[in-house]
Amino acid sequence: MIIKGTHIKKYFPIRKGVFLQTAGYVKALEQVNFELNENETLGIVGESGCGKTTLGRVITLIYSPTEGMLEYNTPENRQIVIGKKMNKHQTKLYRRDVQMIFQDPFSSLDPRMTVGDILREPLDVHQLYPNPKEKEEYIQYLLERVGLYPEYSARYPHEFSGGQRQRISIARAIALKPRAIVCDEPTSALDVSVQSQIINLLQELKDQENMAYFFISHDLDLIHHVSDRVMVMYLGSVMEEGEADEVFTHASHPYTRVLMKSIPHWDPKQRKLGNIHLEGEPPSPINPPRGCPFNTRCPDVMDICKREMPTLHKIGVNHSVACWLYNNKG
Amino acid sequence: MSIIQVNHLKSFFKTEEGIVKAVDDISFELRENEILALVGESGCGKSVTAQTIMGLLKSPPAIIEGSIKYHGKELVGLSNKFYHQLRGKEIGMIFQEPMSAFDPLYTVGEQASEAVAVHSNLNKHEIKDKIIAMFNKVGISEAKQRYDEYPHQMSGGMLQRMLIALTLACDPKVLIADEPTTALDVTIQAQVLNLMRNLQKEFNTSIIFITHDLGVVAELSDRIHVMYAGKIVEKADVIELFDNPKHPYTKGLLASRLKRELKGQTLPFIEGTVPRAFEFPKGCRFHPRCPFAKEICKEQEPAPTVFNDGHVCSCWLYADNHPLDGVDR
Repeated sequence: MIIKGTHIKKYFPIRKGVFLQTAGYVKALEQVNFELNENETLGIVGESGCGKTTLGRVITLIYSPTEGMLEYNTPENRQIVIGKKMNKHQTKLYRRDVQMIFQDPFSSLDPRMTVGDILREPLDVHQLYPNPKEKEEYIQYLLERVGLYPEYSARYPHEFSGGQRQRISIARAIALKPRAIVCDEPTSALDVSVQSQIINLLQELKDQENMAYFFISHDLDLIHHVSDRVMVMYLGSVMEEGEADEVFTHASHPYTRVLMKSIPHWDPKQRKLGNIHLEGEPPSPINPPRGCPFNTRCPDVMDICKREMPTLHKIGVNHSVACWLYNNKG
Repeated sequence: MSIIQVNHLKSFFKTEEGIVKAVDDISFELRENEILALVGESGCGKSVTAQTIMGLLKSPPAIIEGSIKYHGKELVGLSNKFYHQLRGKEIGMIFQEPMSAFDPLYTVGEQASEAVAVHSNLNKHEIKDKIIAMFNKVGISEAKQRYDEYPHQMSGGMLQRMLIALTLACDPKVLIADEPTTALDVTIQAQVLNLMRNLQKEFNTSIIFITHDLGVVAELSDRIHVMYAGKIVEKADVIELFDNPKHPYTKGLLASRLKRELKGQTLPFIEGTVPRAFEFPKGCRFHPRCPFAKEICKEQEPAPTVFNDGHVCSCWLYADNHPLDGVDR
């Protein structure tokens, strides 16, 4: 285990008026539990507003959780609690070990820094390779590692295409030899023909550098391809989780099933979008419905769904669902 | 019967970095009651094609050559005055970002009525009734209240439906949809695609559907034109194209699809990246990325080869005197 989150909750206050009084909360995450293991890809899938990006940002300490506990297992097998109480040294170590790749390669690289500067900065901050010559060699190595020419280190981000920029982001993320990388939709801004190149690179790094990924995407096919385990989220809660193949072949939560059916099939002979009967849209996270967050759209809704939130319930060795259909209470 | 006939259309732009040949000599037709998909990656010229047909490009800086015939009427060089009568009424357009297609300062009802008022002689109340009826038709609940609300009060999916509703309220013969579902979530995308298919049948509209997503194309379209770097490289019926792709680019796109059974394996991909618009390579524009590229591909542009079933592909692999003849393709 590298990172473990227990009952993670994240509320963003909505402030109004002259005195900025809190008028309500955007409830981005509700009681999320997860565990990321060594050399494992945990896929997080869900539609916009489901909290997947917020969760990624909580893990990388961009946001601090409103409630709940995050634990980090250091390489020396010591557990430290991540959060405000960490001392500076621990924070720095944690940030070195858990890196991030952002969705938009056009806004995540500083346009005024050369590629070399971008890769040098984390090394300077963490005082890796104090010898300038070794540092430069390492930067060249990094560029080659992600499939770019070493000469590119003198160039600026605007000189590169989207796919190349994403490679630079990956080089920056792996520069500090992290143990885990949070990938927030790393290919959704890229062309189809380039997307596979980046996915292949991430897979290769996982195998060769023993990397773990926290992989966030709305693309179910992609999540299935890269993940060992998956978590399906809806409106801040985990609806279903388990081993990837298991969840995809035996999707059990009504939401997961609808989601799977909504992916366009690449086969014009088997058109099936006409059979979809998911009405409506996700409710607002400011006023989520009582009970199960999916009850307003669920085809199998029951009385209890509107009263009580179901908890994750094991339905297989590596498969849990939060749905009253599978819970004896229902 | 064809409604729109595009012949040797070119849309170039003069920029500081040189002439951008965004659309370079493309020809195609839109037939009655069909959904024609223009498919390609960013920078292939699919959106520029749509904007050219709609007369949305100012020239200069745009240089437009060739011909676009709508029911036999030439659109290239048509004055804005005449275009006004055409846009919305005859040819409607739906944009990618529903959020930015609406003006945030006016209610959705006001904006929808404005469009209808321009093209009809109905009075205010009739227009309002018509819009509300259309809102109902595209599945907006409580359409009456929604009519008086502002765009920020709606979700992206709802705005896209409203956009479709107001476009269809003018009863256009042709609808150009530029990536209408790209900004939407999959479950909402499925709803919108469904809606478009049903409305197309009901209103007998012909649709030019622009997208980069081959999955969406497979669900919706009747015929497909694949574009790359300003050119149409392949044309075929939807089933034929997915069963029997001919151009190496199309093949590459179809192969890079994520398949369940290939989980965790290295994905097939197309080498390199899409070239930038002012530095398209000589010869076949795909040749630097093409696994089958030969000398001739670097020098000369391939002409379209027509196969007996109406499948068209512009590639030297299929030219009669190609050096690769006899090799298994």
